[in-house]
Amino acid sequence: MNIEPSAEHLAFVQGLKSRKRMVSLLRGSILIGFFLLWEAAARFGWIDAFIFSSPSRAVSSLWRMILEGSLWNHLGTTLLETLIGFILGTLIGLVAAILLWFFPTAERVLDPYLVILNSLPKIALGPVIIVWVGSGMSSIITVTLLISVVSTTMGMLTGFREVDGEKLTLMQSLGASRLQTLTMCVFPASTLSLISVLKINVGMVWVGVIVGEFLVSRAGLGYLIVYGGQVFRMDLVMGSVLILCLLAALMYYMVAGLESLLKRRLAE
Amino acid sequence: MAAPVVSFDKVYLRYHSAAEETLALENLSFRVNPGEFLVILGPSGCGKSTILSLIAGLISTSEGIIRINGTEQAGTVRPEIGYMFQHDHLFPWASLRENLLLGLKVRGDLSPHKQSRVNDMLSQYGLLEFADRSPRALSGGMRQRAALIRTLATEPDILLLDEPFSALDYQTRILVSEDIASIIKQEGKTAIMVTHDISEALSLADRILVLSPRPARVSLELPVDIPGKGVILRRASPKFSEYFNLIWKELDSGEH
Repeated sequence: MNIEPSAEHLAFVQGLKSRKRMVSLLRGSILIGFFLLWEAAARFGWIDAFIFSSPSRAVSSLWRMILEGSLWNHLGTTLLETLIGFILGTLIGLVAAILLWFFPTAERVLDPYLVILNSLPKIALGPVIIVWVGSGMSSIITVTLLISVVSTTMGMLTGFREVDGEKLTLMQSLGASRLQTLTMCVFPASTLSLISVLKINVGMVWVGVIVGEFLVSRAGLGYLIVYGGQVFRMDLVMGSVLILCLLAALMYYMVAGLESLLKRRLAE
Repeated sequence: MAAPVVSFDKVYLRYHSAAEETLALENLSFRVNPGEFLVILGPSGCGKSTILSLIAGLISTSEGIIRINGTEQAGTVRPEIGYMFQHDHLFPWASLRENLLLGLKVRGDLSPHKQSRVNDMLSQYGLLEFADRSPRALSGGMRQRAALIRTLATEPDILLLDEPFSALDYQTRILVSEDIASIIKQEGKTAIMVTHDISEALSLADRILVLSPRPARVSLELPVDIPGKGVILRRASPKFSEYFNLIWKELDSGEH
């Protein structure tokens, strides 16, 4: 439209903008307020800084590790495990979903097992995994896969099943093979399911990695947290948790970015 | 008379579920002549769409023989048949052009000749400017026209139309059906359409088969001869309402 916007419209847009500003402002002040309050509580002795730590103590403990150069090793280890777990978990779950879609009888046979596996708290298998796989990074990644693969498979299968039956008939009437139906129709039609699976996996994989590190590792943020807890260095624990918050937020926004990219492609 | 393009010879179809067996089609025999626009008209749920699925080879008969261009339809998808549905099912993740080339891509036949044929249809039927955009940019009527081009791209002789206009609003439906019918005539295709809408049937058909409620049998076969070319002129003709009343009575008597 090329018509001059009315005063009413300008006021409306102005209102939208100021509401958006206010939301950002409130969001930011909650974050800052939380840290200020925590810091103040520790300084003025409302809480025991030895037990509850404080933002400045947590940050300075991290800073010391940066100066020593030891933080990067822990950070890198956790990031690597998370990345491998995320990619492998998604891929394996995806391949399993595709195979089950290809063989509906197998899907029917395996359905109750999938449901039970999905609701089982897989962390419970952690100690078994250590015995079976050993106490290295492979163990941690196995725990991660245990947590993410089944939910990925179930999520994708649900997406595949939701594709309109008439679309499948269309493909069939064009003479498409099952593989062609999958690649040309069913898989692209399930893009939104893929995104929601990725979003869930981001959370799952962090749980898997940190729990895995609790159980076995000699490095990583999960290890720092357990170690800090054992030797009562709460500054270290809190510092590591802060980094985890940052990383999880970062990864979430990366997936959200991918989501809006894909959605825009779908919607033109 | 020329050899029929499609013929049904004493066709029976039964549906099976754990609880019961349903007779969907009973002793159904009819033929479709080359270049004809045949409309199969019947109440909802009488098994109209089943007839199209049988012709397309998506399902098989329980008894009886279906022949297509003289050879028996043994439950396989055949290249000379194109299927059009109630919804256009254009894929939002692909451009309009990619959508229209879907059938050719499935067959691995993206030859320059076939592609330029699709391009010709795009420009002939007024969609060329949308070719590289998402189908979301198209109106409901344009989408159904695009779905027809997708069906025509594989160059079928026989078009199966499964209530292709029923998802459109009334006015668009009349304009689009006019549009689609003229394209089908222009391309010289044989068309078999199923619908429950008497007016739609009368405005398009060369011949109408009225089906009884389930199990479906042909209860009335009616060659349609209404003066006036095109959907709108046909609807305005006095003969239109004569035919309408005739079919209405037939459907009504089937109900009781």
